Amino acid sequence: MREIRSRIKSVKSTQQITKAMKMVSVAKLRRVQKGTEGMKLFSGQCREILGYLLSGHTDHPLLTPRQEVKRVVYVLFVGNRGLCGNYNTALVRYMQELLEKTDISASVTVVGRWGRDVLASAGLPIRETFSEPGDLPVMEDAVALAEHLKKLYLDGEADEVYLVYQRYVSALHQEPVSTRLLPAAPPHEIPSGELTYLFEPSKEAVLDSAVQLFVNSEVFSTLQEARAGEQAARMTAMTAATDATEELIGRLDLDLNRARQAAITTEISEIVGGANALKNRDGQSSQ
Amino acid sequence: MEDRIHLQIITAAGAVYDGFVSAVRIPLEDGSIGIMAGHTPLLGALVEGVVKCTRADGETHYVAVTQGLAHVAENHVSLLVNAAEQAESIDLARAQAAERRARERLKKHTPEVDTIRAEAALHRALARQMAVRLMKK
Repeated sequence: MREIRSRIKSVKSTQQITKAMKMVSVAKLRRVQKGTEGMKLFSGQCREILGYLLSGHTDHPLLTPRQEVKRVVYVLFVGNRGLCGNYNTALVRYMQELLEKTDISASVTVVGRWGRDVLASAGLPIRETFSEPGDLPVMEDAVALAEHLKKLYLDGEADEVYLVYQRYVSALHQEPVSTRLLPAAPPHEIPSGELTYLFEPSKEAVLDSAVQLFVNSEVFSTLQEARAGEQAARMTAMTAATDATEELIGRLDLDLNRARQAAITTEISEIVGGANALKNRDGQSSQ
Repeated sequence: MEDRIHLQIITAAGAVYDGFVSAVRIPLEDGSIGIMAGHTPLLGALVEGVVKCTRADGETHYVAVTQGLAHVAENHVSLLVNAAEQAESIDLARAQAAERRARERLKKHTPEVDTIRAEAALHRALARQMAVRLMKK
C-alpha cells in the first residue's frame, strides 16, 4: 500500500511539471504568433517594391543561379529543447533522407540548442552551430545568421543554401520542409500603378538593399515559424503526457483502494474470528 | 492637395512608427534628405542613422534605424528596415556599451573579428546615441 501511495505521489508531481510546461508553451506560442503578424505588413511592402524593381532587367549576385552546383549548405532549424514529441527527431530524419538523395557535397549549419550529441551521432556533416536565437526570436539573431549565410554564398563556400525546418501547418501539425534561400527567388507582383521612381543613390544600390532585406526577413520568418512549431509540438506532447498521467493516477487509485479494501476485510475477519474464538471459550468455561 | 504624409517605419517584427507627419528627414547613402507632401516617387537605400519625424503640431520624434529601404509614393512614406527604435525607448547606457564593445573589437583586428559586422554594430550604436541626443535638445 505504501508503495502505491508513493507512486501516486511521484506521478502527481510529474503531472504538475507536464502541466506547467504545457502552460509555458501555450504562452510562448501565443507570443511567437503575435510576432508573425508584424511580418505580414513587412513582407507585403517588400514584395511590392521588389515587384517594381524586378520588372525591368535586373542582375544581382544573390539572385542569379549558378550554372554548376557543387556545394550545398543546409540550415537545419532544430528546437532549443527536447520534450516536444518527435519534432526534432522527425526533422533530423528528414535531413538524413535529403542528404542520402543527393550526391552533391553538402554540409549542415545547425540553428538551435537541442541535441548536440544526437546530431553528432546522426552522421550529419555539421559545419557549425548557431545557438544564440532564443525562444522568442529577434531580428538581430536573424540578421547575424543571414549575413553569415550570404557570406558563405558569396565566397563560393556554397552554391545553394537551403533552409530545413518544420513548417507550421497548424498547432497540431507541423511538417518538415526544405526551401531554397539562396540564390533568392523573391515572389513579386507586377506593379499596377504607373509611377516612375527616382532612385537614390542608384537603382543598383536600391535593389541591393531590397534583396538584402528580403533575405534577412526570410531567415527571420523561418526562425519564427520553427519556434512556433517547437512550442506547438511541446504543447501537444505535454497535453498527451498530462492525460496519460491522469489515467495512470486513476488506475493507481483503484489499485490503492482495492489493496485498502482487502486489508480492511482481512482485519475484520481476523477480529470477528478472534471474537468468535473468545466467545466460544467463554461459553465453554461458563457451562 | 493634402499636406501631410503617412509615415510607416516597419521592421519584420512589426511597425515601430505609424502616423501622420508634415515632414520627415531620412538618412540615405549620400546624405540625408527631407521629404514633404507631394514629393516625387522615390526608392532609396537607407543607411544607419536617425529619422526625424516632424508632426503638424510641431512635435518631433526621432527614430534610430539600420540599413533598409525607403519607399516614397503619393504622400505615403514607408521605411523598411532590419531594426528601428524610437529615441524614447533607447537605453543610452546600453548604446554606449555597444559602441565600446564594437570599438574594442575593431581595434584588435584579429582574423576572428568580423570587421564588417563590428563596423555595422558601431554605426548602429552611434545612430542610437545620436537619436537620444537629438531628442534631448
